[in-house]
Amino acid sequence: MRLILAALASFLMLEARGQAGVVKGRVTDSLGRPLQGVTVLLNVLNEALPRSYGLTSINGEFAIRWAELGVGGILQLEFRHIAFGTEKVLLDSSAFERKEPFQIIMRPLVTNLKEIVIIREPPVTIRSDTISFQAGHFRKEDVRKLDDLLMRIPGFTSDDNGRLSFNGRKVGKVLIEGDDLAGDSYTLLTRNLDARWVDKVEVVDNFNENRLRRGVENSDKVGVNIRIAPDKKLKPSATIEGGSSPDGRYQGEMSGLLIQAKSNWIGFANTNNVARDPSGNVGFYHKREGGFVASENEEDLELPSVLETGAILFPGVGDQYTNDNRDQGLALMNSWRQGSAFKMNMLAGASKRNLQREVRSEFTTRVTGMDEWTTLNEIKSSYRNRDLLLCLSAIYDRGGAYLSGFRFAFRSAQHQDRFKNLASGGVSDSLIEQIRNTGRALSFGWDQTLKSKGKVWQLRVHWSASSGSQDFTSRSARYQGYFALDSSYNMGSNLYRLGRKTGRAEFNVAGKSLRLRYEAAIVGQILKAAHSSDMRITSYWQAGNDFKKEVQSDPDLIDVRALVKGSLPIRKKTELALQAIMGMQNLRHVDFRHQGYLVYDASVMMSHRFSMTSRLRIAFRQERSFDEFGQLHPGGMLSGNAVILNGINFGGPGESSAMDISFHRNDLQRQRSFSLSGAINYHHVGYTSDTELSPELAIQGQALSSGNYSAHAAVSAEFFVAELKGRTGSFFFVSHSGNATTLNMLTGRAESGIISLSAWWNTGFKSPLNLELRGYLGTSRARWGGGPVNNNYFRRWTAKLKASSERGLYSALVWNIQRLSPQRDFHGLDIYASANLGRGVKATLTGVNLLNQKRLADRNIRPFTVTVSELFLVNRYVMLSFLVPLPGEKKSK
Amino acid sequence: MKSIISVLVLNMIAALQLNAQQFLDIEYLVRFNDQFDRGRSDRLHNGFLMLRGQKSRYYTIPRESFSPATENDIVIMPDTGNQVFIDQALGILLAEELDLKGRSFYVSDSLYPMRWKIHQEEKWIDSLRCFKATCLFRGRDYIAWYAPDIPLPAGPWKMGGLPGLIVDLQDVDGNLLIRLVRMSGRNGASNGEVLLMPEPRYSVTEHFAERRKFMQRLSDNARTTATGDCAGCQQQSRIEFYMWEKIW
Repeated sequence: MRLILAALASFLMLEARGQAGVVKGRVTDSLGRPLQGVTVLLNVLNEALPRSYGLTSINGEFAIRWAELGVGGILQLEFRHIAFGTEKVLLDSSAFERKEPFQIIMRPLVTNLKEIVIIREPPVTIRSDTISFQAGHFRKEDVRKLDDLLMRIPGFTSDDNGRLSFNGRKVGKVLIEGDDLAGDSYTLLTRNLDARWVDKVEVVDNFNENRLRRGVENSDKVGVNIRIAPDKKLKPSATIEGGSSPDGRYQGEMSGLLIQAKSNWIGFANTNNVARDPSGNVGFYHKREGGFVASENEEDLELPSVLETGAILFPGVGDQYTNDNRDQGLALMNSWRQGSAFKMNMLAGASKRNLQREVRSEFTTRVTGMDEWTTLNEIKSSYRNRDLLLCLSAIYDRGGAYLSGFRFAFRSAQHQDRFKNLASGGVSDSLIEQIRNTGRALSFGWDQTLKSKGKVWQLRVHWSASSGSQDFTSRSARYQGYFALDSSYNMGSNLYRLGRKTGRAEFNVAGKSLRLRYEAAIVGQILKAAHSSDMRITSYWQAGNDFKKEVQSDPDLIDVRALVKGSLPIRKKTELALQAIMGMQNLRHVDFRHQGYLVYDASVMMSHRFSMTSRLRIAFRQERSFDEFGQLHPGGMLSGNAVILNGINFGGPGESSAMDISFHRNDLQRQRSFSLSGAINYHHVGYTSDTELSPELAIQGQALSSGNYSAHAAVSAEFFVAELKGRTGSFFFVSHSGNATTLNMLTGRAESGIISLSAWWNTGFKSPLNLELRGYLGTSRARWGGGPVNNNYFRRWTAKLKASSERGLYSALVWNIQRLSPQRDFHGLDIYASANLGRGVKATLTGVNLLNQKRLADRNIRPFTVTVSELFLVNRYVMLSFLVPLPGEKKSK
Repeated sequence: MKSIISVLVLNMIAALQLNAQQFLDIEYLVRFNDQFDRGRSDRLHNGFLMLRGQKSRYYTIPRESFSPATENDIVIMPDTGNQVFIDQALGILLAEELDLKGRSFYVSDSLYPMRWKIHQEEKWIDSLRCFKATCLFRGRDYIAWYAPDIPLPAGPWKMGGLPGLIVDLQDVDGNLLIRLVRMSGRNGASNGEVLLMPEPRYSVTEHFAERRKFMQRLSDNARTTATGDCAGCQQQSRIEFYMWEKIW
């Protein structure tokens, strides 16, 4: 019919091209009464968008002006009113010349108008110091966990360990409905919580977990509060996911949640053999929180660092190049309120992790002016750990000026590494090593806060004890040392024990006077350590070369420091903050010699807050301290894989200077973000812990470095392109570092630099097909002691083709291409397809590494050696899994 | 888009019958930045548009209370704000204003004085096919999405005059965002309900002139001659005046 109409019109009617004028007329109902408020549209036939429009007056009259259109087509007038049927009039060539106005009669129509309710809130709301994001706006089909959801929200970034930042500032805590369930181990939540349970994500600026200190302390952290969807509250919710593949791969996962007025519960359980992030693996996550490494939070549950140094190959978070892997984890979090003042939190977890790994490495070893050889290694290793964690805390808070808290934590860990190395070349032909580490740590904390006359007084007492042991055995056939110390058969063993106790007390007062925020504190702590090592090395090639050594020491450190801190707003949005810490540290060395050191830590920081999401920060810090106590070991003592635990023999505290500048701007309305950051660090004297030597030489081995510096700069920008309906961004990074290392009387300078650029583009078309492209280009250069230069070029491309339908079908095809010079490529192909089967049940088909290729991992330079390693990806598998929510979701009306 | 909108279509079978005397209740969700042009502090409001034949009334009720940025913030904020009465038959628009004592009065304004530019962009909001329109109105750029399938030239606040109901409205700086939440109606009977139009105090031109005079007085008062040793010194306090409708 439309075609016939159009054909007739083409003879009779007006072409839009080159015409202009006014069309006038009057609209009445069938009784001749004028109709007001009728929308009069001037359309080109078959076009949805009107070229001009107007409304009828109280007399029902209209006058539509039509300017030059310049577009071909047939014109028509359309009359629309909510209570009348639509009338259309095709315009002929005389329409603009006729003096008689058009007379339009509209027929009444009983309009069937649906009563509609659209529940939607603005995606972003900023209120005071809180930015609230509607989760539904950012939750796409491929968002599975909270972590995925947060990464879709502009401003959030995550490091390799899952630690979050928002607009360049660290996230201190992730709370659930205002409850701190996971403490510092918040990656337990972010990596496991089902994103579908989340209603809102609130980002709280200037976050302080101590309510009373919020007004007097300017913390440089943000807090994230997760609001759970209303329909998931007050009743238990759970999801169960399970799947398997024909070749014996499996994964199972269970998450549960119960949010009530007086108690909240969250639990996760996971088992898999596909190298998926092990949910509930408390030890794994807690370790990444700072339990092993230097931490900002003094009350972290530290385990002896010997566990870390003993590991041969560290599995990285998100690394999926394991050959086989079995993980089981369980975590339970709970908060419970009694009355209006008392609240108790519990975090408990257990995990078991088995990791098998195969590495093929090519070592080129060069000793300046002495020797050079290349070794091909095939390494098979297995890593096994068992972790147990229990944290309890109680808070008494009546909402007034007094707060009291108590914290207890216990952690136990067992790690075992087995290492088998088959090599040809200079180092060894066969080496089997085994390290067993066990560690236990216990800590208590007591915290009292009182606010009086605008001042906040705080007393914190903390005590912790940890112990660890390491049993190391090695056996090598035809061992050849670095300096021609050969043996045909070597056996070594080392039993190492470490105990450490820390007591710490802090008295702190903070307040605000006029505009000045100030804080003063006295901190005292005692650190005691005890080491014992029983080492034996037997060489069967050199007769009688049977070496034994026992080492014992118990150094301690008494540390007293005073802290003064102040911050002053110098303009409306600019703040200047100063901090000075001075103190004395008395170290009792391994030879019972006492020595006192003056230590200090001074910093100045200027920050300017343009808006809630735009900030400039410039900071300088000068430090002289002896904080590496945890790294101190008696000289010559070995740990694990012949790594020297050194550092006890240095002459004084380390000194360092650091300067950093950062600018972040995140325009949430226009969806644009920009950030710039740069830092320079200078360590006058430091000690390396990355020195690997043969056991026989370790007795003399010490690595001292000086003139350490590092500098880096990063620029990133991301914005939404409305025309392309896509989000695009880029990240540029450049760094350089250098230090002079003295090792066994050989001195050399190490220099390394990295430049990289990555860019991405995600389309957001309404079409079912969308594309996500990501590219990375990088180059690194490293050199030691005038030796060989190690140049690497990296190229990485990822193309993801996504298809979705309104019926809940979603599929993605991911193509990864990596190239690491010289000419080593990796092509990976993954598929993902999911379908909603109704009532929240979801079926997923996952295909990983369908081309089953190896992945090139790393090429690095160390003193003496250049290493190129190949790591194997997870072998190809295709898995079908189902996700079932409990209770099942109701069908939407 | 579908994923961000949870849709409940109610009363699908018992559809609403409308005649020439339409009686529609339209509810919007309003996010307004109280610190517009200065900073950021959003608040959510519920916006209600009552269409009663040729007359309409729009008003907002805040969902959350105002939190002053400093102790010097003086808040004059009625529970019901941004009231706008429109009489299509008479072609008048009356908008509520507040004086410094918090007393409300009405200013008569032109009906839909903004000049819309219709764009080709379209998007679906729930089941409504919407088109984009933009305008510059009293110093601010607005983007509106209107639904031609609901041929009502109405919208929130003073906005309207488009060939369809305004479903979504925002200013380009993100200070104001208004979104349709609910639309319901009754059959032609008015149930005796009468929408009374208030009496205007000024026309909008006069109102803006009064505001400018007031600002000038305020500025003059802020310039004082200092007393004491410095007989000839003058001090001038800086006054910043922010208005949503920029009148200068």
